[in-house]
Amino acid sequence: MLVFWEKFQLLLRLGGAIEKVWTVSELTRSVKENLEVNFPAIWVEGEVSNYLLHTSGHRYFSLKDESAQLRCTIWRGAGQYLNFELEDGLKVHAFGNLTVYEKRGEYQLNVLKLLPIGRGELEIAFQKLKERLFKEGLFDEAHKKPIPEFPERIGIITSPTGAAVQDMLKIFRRRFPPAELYLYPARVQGEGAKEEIVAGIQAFNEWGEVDVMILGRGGGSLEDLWAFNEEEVARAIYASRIPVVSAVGHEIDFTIADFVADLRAPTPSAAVEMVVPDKEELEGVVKGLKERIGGLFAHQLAQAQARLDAVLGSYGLKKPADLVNQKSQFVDELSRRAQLALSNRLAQMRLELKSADERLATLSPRAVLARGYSIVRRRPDGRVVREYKEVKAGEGVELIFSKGKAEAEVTRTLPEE
Amino acid sequence: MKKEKALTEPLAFKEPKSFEAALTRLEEISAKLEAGETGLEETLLIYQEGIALSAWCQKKLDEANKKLKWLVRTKGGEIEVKEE
Repeated sequence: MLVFWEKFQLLLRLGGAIEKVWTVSELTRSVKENLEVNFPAIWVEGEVSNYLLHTSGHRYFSLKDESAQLRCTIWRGAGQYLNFELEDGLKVHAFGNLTVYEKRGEYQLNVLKLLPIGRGELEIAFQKLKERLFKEGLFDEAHKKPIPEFPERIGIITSPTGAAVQDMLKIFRRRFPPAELYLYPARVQGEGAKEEIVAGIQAFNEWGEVDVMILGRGGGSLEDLWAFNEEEVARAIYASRIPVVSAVGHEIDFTIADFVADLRAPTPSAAVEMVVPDKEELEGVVKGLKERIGGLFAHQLAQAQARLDAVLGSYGLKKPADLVNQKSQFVDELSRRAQLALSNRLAQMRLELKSADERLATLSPRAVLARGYSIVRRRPDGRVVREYKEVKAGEGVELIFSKGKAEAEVTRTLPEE
Repeated sequence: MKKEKALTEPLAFKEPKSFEAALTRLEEISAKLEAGETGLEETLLIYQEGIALSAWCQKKLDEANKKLKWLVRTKGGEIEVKEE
C-alpha cells in the first residue's frame, strides 16, 4: 500500500511538469515498435477461443488461459500451411510475433505457426528430417520417376484390414477393370510399421512385376501417420526403381513420404484416380481409333477400287482380251487354211497317183511289146533268152509279140559285135 | 494366293503384351493407314489387326474384376503371390 502511495506521488509530480504530450497515434506506434522489437519470435501456449475463419481467408481467435487473453491472427498466407483445423477449446502452441492493431489499440499475436499441444516434438522432428532430406536431394524433381500411363499391375502397400484398401479396390474396379492388384500387407501405424512398409517397397522391387506402387493409409493423427515420416521409409522410396505414389491421410496431411514419392496423392482414393486411366475415357479412345481405322480402310479400299477400275479400263489390261480375239480369229483362219491345204494335197496326191499308174502301165511288158519289142523263150524249158549263149543253132524258140506268138528255129548264134 | 488367304481366313492374332501396347499399336495402324503408303494386301492385314485389337481392348475393359492378390515374403525369404 505504501509502495503504491509513493508511486502515485511521484507520478503526480511528473505529470505536473508536462514535459511531453503524446498523440494517441504516436504512443500506439511507439508501443507497437517496442513490442515488435522485444517480442519478434515467441511461442505462446493457450486455448483457442472465439475462432473465426473470415471469408477473406484470414483467421481470428483468442488464446487464453485461466486469467488472461491474447488476440491472435493468422493471415491467409500463413494459414495455408496449417495441417489441422482450428476449433474453440483446442490447446495449442502458437508461434509468431507480437504487434499492435493500431486502430483499436489492441496488441495481438501474428501467428505464423500453430501446433496442437502434444505434437510439438514430432513436428520438430518432422521439420528437421524434412530439411535434412531436402538438402540431401531426396525430394529433387529430377529424381522422380514418371508414372506409367496405363499401369496394369499395381502394387499396394497398406493394411489389409484398413478402410484405405477397400476404398482403393472399389475405385480400381470401377475405373480400370484390367488392373491386376497386388497387396503387400503391412502395418501402417505403431510398432513395426516402418519396417513393414520398407519391406513392402523392397519386396515389390525385388519381384519387379508391378508398374507402380501405392503407399496408402487413411486419415489419422500426426502420430498415426508417423511411420510415413520415418527416414528409413523415405530412403526406401528414394531407392525404389518402381515409381511410388504416396497416398497418406487426408488432403491436409503432408508426410516425408509425400515429398520423396514420385507422385503425391491427397488420399488413397485419389491415388487410384491419378494412377489408372478411366474405363469410359479409354473406351472412347479405343472406339475413336477403331472408327478411324475403319474409315481410313474404307477410304483406301475405295481408292484401290478406283485404281483398279482405271487400270482395267486402260489399253494395258484390255490387250489380253484383244489378243484372245485376235488369236482365235487366227486359229479359225489356220484351220480354214489347213483344210484347204489338205484338200489341195489330196487332189495333188490323186493326180500323182494317176500319173504313177500311168507310169506303171508304161513299165508293163505288154506296153514294151506294144512299142515293137518281142520276148524270146526257149522251147524246151520256156526260159526267157537274154543273150546268144543261151540258145544253139537248131533249137526251137518261141517269140512273144504284143499280140500273138510265133515259133521259130535258131539257125546261127553270133556274139555281140 | 496369299492375298486370298488374308481375305478369308481369320488373322493369326497375337495377344498384346498390355493394354498400353495394344493402344500404341492401334495408333500405329491408324497412322500407317493415314499415310496411305501401304499396299492393298498390307492395308487389309493391318485393318484386320486393328479391328481385332480394338475388340481385344474392349474385352479387356469389360473383364470381370480380378481378385486382389497378396504379395508376401515367406519365412525362407522367398517372395510369394497368394490369392486373397
